[in-house]
Amino acid sequence: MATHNKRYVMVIDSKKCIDCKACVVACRAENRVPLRYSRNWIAEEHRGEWPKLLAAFEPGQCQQCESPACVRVCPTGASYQRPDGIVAINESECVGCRYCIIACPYDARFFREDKGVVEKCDFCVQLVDRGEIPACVKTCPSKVRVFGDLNDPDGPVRQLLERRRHLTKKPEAGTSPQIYYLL
Amino acid sequence: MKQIEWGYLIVSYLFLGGLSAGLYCVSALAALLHANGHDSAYKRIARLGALLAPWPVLIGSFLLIFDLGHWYRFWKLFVRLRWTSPMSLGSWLLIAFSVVAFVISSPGSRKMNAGGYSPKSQGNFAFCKS
Amino acid sequence: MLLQFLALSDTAWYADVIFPESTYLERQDPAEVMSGICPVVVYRQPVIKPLHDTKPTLDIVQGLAKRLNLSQYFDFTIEQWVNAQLKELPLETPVDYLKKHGIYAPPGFPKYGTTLNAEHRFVTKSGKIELFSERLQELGYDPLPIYQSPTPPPAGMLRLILGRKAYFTHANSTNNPWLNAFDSENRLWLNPVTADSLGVADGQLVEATSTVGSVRLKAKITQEIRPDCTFMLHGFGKRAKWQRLTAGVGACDAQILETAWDKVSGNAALHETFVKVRRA
Repeated sequence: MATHNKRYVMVIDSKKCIDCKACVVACRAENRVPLRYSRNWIAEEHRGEWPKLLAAFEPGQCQQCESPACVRVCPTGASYQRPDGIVAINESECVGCRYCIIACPYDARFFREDKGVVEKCDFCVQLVDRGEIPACVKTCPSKVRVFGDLNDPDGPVRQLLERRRHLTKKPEAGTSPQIYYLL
Repeated sequence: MKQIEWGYLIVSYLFLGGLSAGLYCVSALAALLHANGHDSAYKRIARLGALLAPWPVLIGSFLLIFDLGHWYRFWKLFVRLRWTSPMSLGSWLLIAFSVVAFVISSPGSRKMNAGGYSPKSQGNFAFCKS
Repeated sequence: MLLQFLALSDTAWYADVIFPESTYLERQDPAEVMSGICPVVVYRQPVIKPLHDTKPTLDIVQGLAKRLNLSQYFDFTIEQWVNAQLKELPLETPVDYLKKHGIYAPPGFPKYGTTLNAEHRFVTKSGKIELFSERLQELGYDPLPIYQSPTPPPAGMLRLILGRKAYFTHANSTNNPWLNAFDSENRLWLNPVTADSLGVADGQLVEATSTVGSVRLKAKITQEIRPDCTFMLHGFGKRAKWQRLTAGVGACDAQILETAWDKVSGNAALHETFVKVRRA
């Protein structure tokens, strides 16, 4: 059994993404997110003139920051960080002030008009707590996403990050995001 | 960065909050000048300001509460004070200001009594004419 | 025309009688063999009870047989059918094995240069895999396939390319609300050079006409298509009113697609249609 503290992170290899949006649909199904909202997305980039063209796809979602701005600005403690690093929302504590939506540098949060609370990706904590992996990771047909414990020296996440060059998004925001994008 | 569109509730609150703060400041300034021996126009301004100051912010606070996703959960804002949360600080400051403003506007307060105002002998707004 | 169907598709719209079939999650199917280098036997069992008033294939067939007084040929249950199929597998209790594992793969892995059955011969003249086919030569085709570049479209016409997006499966999932949200209307792709010469602006209604038909849809001006080609996404402009999100939305590629097939393999050739595009 592991003796270290867990720190769940995700490694994303955007070059493998084929824009099938299975992750978006799987998240919607697993977390019952209505159609007008989405916890994750695929950002598209199209450049160039025919016949020299470039198209790139990049999955995005909550970056599960190490020092999350959303948690800092939450007045009630509804947004919180678990000991395993996952930033989650306790819906019954959320008053719906939406301050966290403005604080998030990644636009990862949205306000559910129907429930009156803010929502975002929480690495499918309900699955992680059962020893499973997030729905988007499980469903991805081209294995873009790797989920795991950053503190496990033999885990797939560490293996990848030690072998491949990578970056995080908007490190200048100072929130220490924990979604690693492989180059 | 996400652009949040603030609705009329917030816009009105900002106006009403500012109105209260302004009333309070003017009232305090007038009371200060009156205490230094100036004429009774300052006294009237001090009284009027003190009496009106708490009300706009009270209405504004309700508007803020109704802007929340769950207005009936607003009490959760006052379970604890979180220094890093502007929302939390703001809520407590609003409460503090309202309490102070109400105490000062109450008939028993020293500011209201300065100059011989007596609620028994006059109507509530009669001092305005004196 | 009789049809047994899962979704009320355009094909169902043309049918006279529809037998609603249970989905693959709701029914027990006969065992299926998936052939290939590593063949497997696949066993499909229901994971949920049917959500709606639908029936598995065998029930539909048996019901029809009864009406036609042919019941004696279908007097077995699905379990008996599957048991009969599986009894030749080299397993002690094949049904239990497949219930547990879902598939059965024969042991051993094929080796290059050999066949599982040493006596096996392919249906070619030599009995082996042929790169150079004398039979094709006799029939007047190239014995060794030779690349032929596509014919350039005639003046004023564009080659119609058909295709799909990663999130739509053929034409049958465009009406799924979760998937439809990603792309809710197909448009005719035009290179800016082509669009300029036609005087078409992005989003403008255009008409694409081939020898078999004509459709109207909005133009999408993009660098991502060759100037001599045009593209439209498959699965829109449906007839069936039941396909609420796609009925009459965008246009149906089948309406302008000309019939063409590869003479050697017999495969449908879907990119052989030339269309004339003009502002509608």
